[in-house]
Amino acid sequence: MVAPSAAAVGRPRRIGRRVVVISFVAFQLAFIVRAYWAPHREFGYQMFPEASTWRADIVRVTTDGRRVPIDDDWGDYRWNDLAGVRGLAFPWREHHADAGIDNQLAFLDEALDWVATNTPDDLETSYLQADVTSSRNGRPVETTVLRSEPRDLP
Amino acid sequence: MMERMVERFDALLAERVSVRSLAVVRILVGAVATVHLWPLLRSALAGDTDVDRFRHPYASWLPELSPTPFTVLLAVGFVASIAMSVGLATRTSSITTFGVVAYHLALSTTHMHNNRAYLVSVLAILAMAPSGRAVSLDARRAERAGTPLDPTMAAWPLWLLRFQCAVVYAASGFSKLIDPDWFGGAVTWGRVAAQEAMVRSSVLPSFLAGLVLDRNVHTFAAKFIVLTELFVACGLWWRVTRRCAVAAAVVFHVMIGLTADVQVFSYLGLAVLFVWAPPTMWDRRWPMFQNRGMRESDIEGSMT
Repeated sequence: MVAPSAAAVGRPRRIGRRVVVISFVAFQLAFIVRAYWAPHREFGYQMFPEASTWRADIVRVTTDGRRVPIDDDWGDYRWNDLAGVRGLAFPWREHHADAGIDNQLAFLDEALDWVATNTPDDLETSYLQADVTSSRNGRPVETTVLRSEPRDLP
Repeated sequence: MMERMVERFDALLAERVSVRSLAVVRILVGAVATVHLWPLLRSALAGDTDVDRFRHPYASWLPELSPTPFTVLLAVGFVASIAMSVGLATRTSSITTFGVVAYHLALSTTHMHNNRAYLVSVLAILAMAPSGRAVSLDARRAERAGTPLDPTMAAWPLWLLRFQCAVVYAASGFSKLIDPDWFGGAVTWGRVAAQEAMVRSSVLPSFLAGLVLDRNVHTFAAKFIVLTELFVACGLWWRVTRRCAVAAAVVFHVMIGLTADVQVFSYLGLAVLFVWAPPTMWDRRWPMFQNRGMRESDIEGSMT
C-alpha cells in the first residue's frame, strides 16, 4: 500500500487534523486550568497535592429531631456498604485526604446526598449531617458542616 | 506570515514518520488497559458492580447499565485490550478499549483517578492512530498475504502523544511549584511524619530513617522533586536533554510505584515514554521491531 504524500493530502483532511490536534491540546490545557478550582481536578494531574487529614461525625437527623450516629447500622443499611469508597469508609476515624481536602469534602457531600436518596426503607431520617474536622497540611483544625438534601418521606 | 505558520503547522502534522514507536506504546498501553480492567471485571463477575454503592455520575444522560450488561461490557473491553496489545483488528480493538475505559471513568466521579484520566487520554490518541501497521498480528497477516501495510504514518498522533506525556509532568510539577506548602516541604514532611512508626520499623537503616524524618531535609527534597518533574516535562522536548529526562522519569515512576498505591500510573508512565524513542532506534537495537519495506529515507528528522 502506498502512503499519500503530504502534498497530496486533501484540504478536508488537513483541516480535520488541525481541528483534532488543536481541540485535544485546548481541552487538555483547559482541564489543567480548571483543576485549580474543581474539587475532583479531572485531567488536572495534580499528584499527591496535600498532606491534609480529616474525620467526620456523621449523624442521621430524624423527623423527631434525634441525632443518630451512622457508626451504628440502621435497618439493613451500613454506611461502609453504602459509601465505603474513595476514603469514605469509617469516616469517624482520621484519614489522609488522598487527593486533597476539597476533593474529600466534595466526595463526602455527594455521598451524603446519595445515601439520603438511596435508602428508601429508612422512614425516620429527615437528612444526614456531617461535622467534619480537617487539617490542611498540618495547619490548625477547621470545622465544616455538610448536610444532605432533605429527604422526601411518605 | 499567518499563512506560512499554518503551512508549517500542517507540514509538521502531516510529516511521514515511522509507526513503530507508536506500535510499541500500543502494545504496552494495551497491556496496561488489561491490568486496569481486570480487577473491575473480576469484581463484576463476583456480583460487585457499584450499583448499590455511592456514585456520582458526570452526566445524567449517560446510560447506567444494569449489572449483567455492565459485566459484559467490561469483558468486551478486557478482550479488546488484549487484542489491541497484540495488534489484532487493531483499530477496532483500540477504539473499543478506549470506549469501555472512558465509559467506566465517566460513570462516576468516584472512578476518577489521575492514572485513569491519563489512560483515557492515551487510549483516545491510540484509537485515532494507525498503530497496527507495525509489530502487530494485522501487519504480519498482511505481509503473508503479499500486501504489506505502510509502516509510516502522519506525525500528528505522535505529536499529540508526546504533548500528553509531557503535560502530565508539567501540570504536576507546576501545581507543586506554585503551592508554598508543597515547595516548602510541608506536604512531603506531613506524609512521612504521619507514618513515622512505619518508617522507623522499615528496612531503612536508622540514620536513613532519621534523614527521611528530618523536617529540614524536606525543605530541599520537595524542591528537588518539583524541579525534577519540571525538568522531565521540558527535557523530553530537546534531543540533548532527552536521555536524562527519560532516565529521570523512569526513576520517578519506579519510586512512585514502590512507595505509593497509584494503580497503573507507573506502568502507564513508563509505557508512554517509548513515544520519545527515535524511529531508527528500533532498527539498531531491536531488529525484531523492524518493518520490511521501511527505509531510512521514509523517516524525517523532526521527530528524532
